[in-house]
Amino acid sequence: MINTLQHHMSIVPSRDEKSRQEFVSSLRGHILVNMATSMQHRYTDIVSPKFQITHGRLPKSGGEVHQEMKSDLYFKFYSSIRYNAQEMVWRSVIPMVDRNLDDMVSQAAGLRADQSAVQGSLTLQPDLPIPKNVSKVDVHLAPGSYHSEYVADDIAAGAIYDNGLSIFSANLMGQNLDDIGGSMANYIRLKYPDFHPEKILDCGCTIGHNSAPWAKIFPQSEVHAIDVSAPALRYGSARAQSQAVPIHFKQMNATCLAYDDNSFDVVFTSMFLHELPLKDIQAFFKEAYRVLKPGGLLLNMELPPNDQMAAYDSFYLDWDCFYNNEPFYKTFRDQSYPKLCTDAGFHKDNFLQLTTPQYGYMSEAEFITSIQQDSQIDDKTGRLTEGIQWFGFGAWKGENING
Amino acid sequence: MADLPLSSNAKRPKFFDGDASDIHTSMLLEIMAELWTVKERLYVLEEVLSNEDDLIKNRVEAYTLSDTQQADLEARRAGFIGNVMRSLEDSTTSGNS
Repeated sequence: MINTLQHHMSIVPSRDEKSRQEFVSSLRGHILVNMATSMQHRYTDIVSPKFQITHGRLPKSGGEVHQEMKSDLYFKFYSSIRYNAQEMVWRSVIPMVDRNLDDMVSQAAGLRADQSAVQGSLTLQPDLPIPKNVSKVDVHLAPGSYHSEYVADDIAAGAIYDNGLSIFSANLMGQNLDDIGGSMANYIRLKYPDFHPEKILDCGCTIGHNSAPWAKIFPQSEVHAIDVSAPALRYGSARAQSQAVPIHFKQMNATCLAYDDNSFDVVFTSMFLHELPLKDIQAFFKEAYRVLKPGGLLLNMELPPNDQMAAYDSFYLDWDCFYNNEPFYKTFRDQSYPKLCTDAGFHKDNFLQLTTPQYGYMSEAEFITSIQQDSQIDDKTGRLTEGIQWFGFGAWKGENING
Repeated sequence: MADLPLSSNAKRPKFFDGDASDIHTSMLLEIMAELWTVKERLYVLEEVLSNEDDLIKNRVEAYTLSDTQQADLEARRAGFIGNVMRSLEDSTTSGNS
């Protein structure tokens, strides 16, 4: 059963809508667990031995695996069904959002206006150009992408994202889709107990679902969250207010931050970089370096890099680049992550790479035991399946506070 | 209603030779989704009718499944998907294709 979102912007689906959503979620579970396992066996037992006979070696890269798998019947079915399931994720929630849109717009405006309990804020910049990687690409096959507006004061794109991600994640991203932020923030709290961030910035926050854990875990801090999408920010601001989490949402492009130099202790992103063209990733890293205080931390929760993965695992993760309308995904994963940091000004010795289990799915003692071990990338790192590990990387600015 | 779009601007990939198999796969999955909603509604109807028969529609919409019933439905749904996909597993994972 899909977890119900626990905030006041959540929608009650009709019985048939709920049935369809649970069907799509179960279908995705079947694809990502059962079919993914069968496909890997297919590769190991049939496809790679054939390649070895022809080439005298096994495939060396994800690209070579992809070329061989394209003609495999199981891969064709896996891909066709997974592509359709992605479309069905959105189609299972859009009519529900459409039906409730007028009420949700009013409700969101009311929540944002009510500052009695929480002192969050929303600052929009209507003349901000929407970058082409959002405006020209319906990212994740989401109709209208993440920025389109259909009514005044619109929140539809945010509501569709929230409800769609709830179906997509098959309960693997936490009750309010906040396990990535929660796991990363708790990792920093527990691994670096002397680090007490006062100002935190989440870039490419969409609806702020992974910004909220930072505000909860570091309650003394001031949390800012930026995105280019006005409807996502309007919705995210109301969502945060309804959860009594103070966050300052601003419409802003991460490649050009309207913040002073040396003003943040943490700059955070989650599942953001792989949606950007390389030049924008590089520009963002320079901006992150600029706005971080000395001793501050840039931390990106992301997909692991291809240069640290087995060929099959690289192929498996890069599927989204070719078939899920995420054209910059593989280019990002082909980069040297340490070099992205050093090119922006970070010292090479201050590079940080980590993997964490899911904080929300275990006791804190188990989490602590896990993060005390060396960071190891395996076939469940970054892969939405049972036993997933989140991956993160970044760098400390200036002197490494970890010594 | 704002008539939100239901389709993305992505060019749909072709995974199979020819057009028919890609279209058939899409049709099959949509039929599966529709059939499942009918199966679930039927399941609830049977539960409701086993008690009373007045205001059936409202009662079906409002009926809350117990945790046991939810788990039962979840197992049925997984079995339903597994049954539909069975021929794919049988024909492709044994090395026949």
